[in-house]
Amino acid sequence: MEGQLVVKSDEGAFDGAPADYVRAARTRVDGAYRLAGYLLGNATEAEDAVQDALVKAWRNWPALRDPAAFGPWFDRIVVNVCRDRMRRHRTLRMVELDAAGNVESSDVFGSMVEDDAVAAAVARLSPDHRIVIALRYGRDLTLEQVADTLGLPLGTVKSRLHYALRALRSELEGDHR
Amino acid sequence: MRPEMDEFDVGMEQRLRNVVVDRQSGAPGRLIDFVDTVPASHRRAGHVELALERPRVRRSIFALATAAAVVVAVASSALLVSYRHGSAAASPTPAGIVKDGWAWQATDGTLFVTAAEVPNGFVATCGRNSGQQIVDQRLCSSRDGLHWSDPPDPAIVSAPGTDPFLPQEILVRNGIYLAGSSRGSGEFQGPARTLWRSTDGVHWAEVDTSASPGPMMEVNLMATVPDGFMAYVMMDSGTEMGMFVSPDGIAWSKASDLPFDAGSAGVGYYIGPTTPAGLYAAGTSAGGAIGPTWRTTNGRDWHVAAMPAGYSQLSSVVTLPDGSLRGVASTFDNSAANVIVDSADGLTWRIDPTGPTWSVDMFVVVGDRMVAYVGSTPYTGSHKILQSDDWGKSWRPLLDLSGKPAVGSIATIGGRLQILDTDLTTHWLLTPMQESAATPAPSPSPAESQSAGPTPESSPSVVASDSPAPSAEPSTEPSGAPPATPTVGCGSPPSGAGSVALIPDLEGVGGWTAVYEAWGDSAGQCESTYGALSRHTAIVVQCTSMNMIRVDVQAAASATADWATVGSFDVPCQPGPDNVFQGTYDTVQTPVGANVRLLVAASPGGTYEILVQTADWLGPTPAPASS
Repeated sequence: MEGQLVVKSDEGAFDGAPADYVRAARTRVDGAYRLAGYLLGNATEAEDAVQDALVKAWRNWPALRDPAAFGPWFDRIVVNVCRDRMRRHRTLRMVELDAAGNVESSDVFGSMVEDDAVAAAVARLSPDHRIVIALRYGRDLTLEQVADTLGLPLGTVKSRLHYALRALRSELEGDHR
Repeated sequence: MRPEMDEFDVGMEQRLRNVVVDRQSGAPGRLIDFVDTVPASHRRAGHVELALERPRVRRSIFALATAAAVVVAVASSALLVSYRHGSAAASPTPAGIVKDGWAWQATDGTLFVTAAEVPNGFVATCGRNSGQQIVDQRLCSSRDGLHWSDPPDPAIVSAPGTDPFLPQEILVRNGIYLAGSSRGSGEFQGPARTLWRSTDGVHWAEVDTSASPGPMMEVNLMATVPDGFMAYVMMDSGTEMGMFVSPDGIAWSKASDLPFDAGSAGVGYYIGPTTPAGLYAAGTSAGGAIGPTWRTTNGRDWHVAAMPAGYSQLSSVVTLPDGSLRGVASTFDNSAANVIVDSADGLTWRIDPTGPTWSVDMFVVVGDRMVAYVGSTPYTGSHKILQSDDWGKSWRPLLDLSGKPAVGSIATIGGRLQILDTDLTTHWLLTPMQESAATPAPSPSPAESQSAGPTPESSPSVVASDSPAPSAEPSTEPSGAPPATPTVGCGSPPSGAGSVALIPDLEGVGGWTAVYEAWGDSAGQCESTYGALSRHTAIVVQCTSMNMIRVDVQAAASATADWATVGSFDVPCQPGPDNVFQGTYDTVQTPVGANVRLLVAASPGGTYEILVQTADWLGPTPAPASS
């Protein structure tokens, strides 16, 4: 589980400067990319989503009153960007083309969905169910942290996780019948 | 191991974790480098960026966002304005134009949501459209609902303090006004977290709730009750919640717990919005079994309400002229379409057999008309606004000034209907008119009978309005008209009602143009090649009487480049309730100007039709790339 990040400016006090943003965002970008990849099942999509999230985070940087809360705050932005993308691209997967028009290889998240039955089953869940699974198991957050990240009541998170696991179980048991 | 888990669950949790552990890939270098460029290349907002999801319009906006995701995501509002001016609003001004019994007035172009009536006018949350969200949210005011003032007119609303006053609901009882407000921190709006109080509806002060009811995670003002105000409160713990009542909005006391254990693991629950018939709530057991629907009218006593089989939730409840109740019922898990239900006493609800066949997201009553916002069933991304002149016995589309089905979210304001277009820019107020009347006759709807204040003295005047049309932005329509839609066929073309407008929400709107169409049956793989599409292309598939269609989308960056697969699109095709084409659509990203090839394989037994729509027409069709 990732720890909380304390952000300080060069002078030792948080003042919302660009340098603070860059420092905080750089620390979180790997985790955000993995979270987005887990949610979207596609490296290109994940990269685009994190780019969007980085811009959103910067635009709202002044509203972040507690710099120590940057991690969950940024995760929430990433999740919401991904949710939008999941709704928009329900079944279509994006593939990056290089300059010559060829498909770029080594999509680690795409292969995850193709090679792993559990990941494939997760990819078939509804966006909200996929999100709680990704945060709980992909991000290894506690239920309380998931609720905090999503801005949802704990009960709602528990309910979603319950239904998501039930749906997964149904899918996986069906696969083995 | 938790008691409710068996070995399968434990193993599955471990596998879920392993999926990630096995793929701890870091972000690409270019993404890390991108971080450094953000502060210099993107303007920073001075206010909090919030989501568009707001309580009063939550259901409609939520669905709207899904329905119009493609439009909102990639089509600029300028294009839609251009369309509106070019076709719908070719007459001098849309203000005061009477169409189909409605007088249409455009607002001044200010983006506002969650409007509430106060003694001297209206208050709302204003902001700007960032593409998918309303950002820079702040309090604003209006005397007539058409022209908005930001900052707000102090004669209408004044709310000093450190926390923002962004009211989500305003109640009034015995001269005391009470509002729940979002706190406005974080990127997305959460539930109301602060309470505000006023004794004149103009001057507001935040209520100190630290001792009563206590540290809150959220507060939802529900209704006025015989002995004061009623609110559902979730405490800071996130697991403790209950109904509170207050005679004055300052001192609160807990009236009851919810009639189910909402704080336990695995429990899902629903707590309804304010209705004229009371507050409705329902919950599940930890195992997921759905319990009964409960109602309270005073916050203390709960009674089981009899709902149609499978339905647990109620919203959009209004009182009809005969005193009966009508509302929207939905299932706990969205497993069935929302339906309109009726009740004589608020406790026994029955499905209205004359309701729309589409899923009803919400409806409002304006004057003597019902207006519903409905989504296709099964959901394929289409929404429309229906109206009824006979209290729901029959429904027909509400047409805009161009004669096309109106699109957008709906709400009421001062006895008028609001339609906020999907571009989040074009905002109409519609006043119901008698067919032969020269002036509108707005009247508060039953749904608004609980609103905070009287209708403002400055009632809207349709014929005298000087409201300008939404500001026109330069059109970015490309030069050169799109081609006539060519068709490419494989096998037998669709018969009967084959020529269906596949995305009415997109067609002709926001610059989206249908540029190619393909059809066929299951006679082998069908190949069709297009060119000069923009990066954003919607591919729409409708089909009949077959099980599955698979569309492989390939692109070639130039005439000599090899084809590369950019997307695969599986479309399950199932018979619909009206035995019409079932459809779905999605977008695909292709290199700008690339040639695009669709390879279609269909299961036996039916026909299909594919429409390719693009956000920007780039020019004449180039020669297709060689296979």
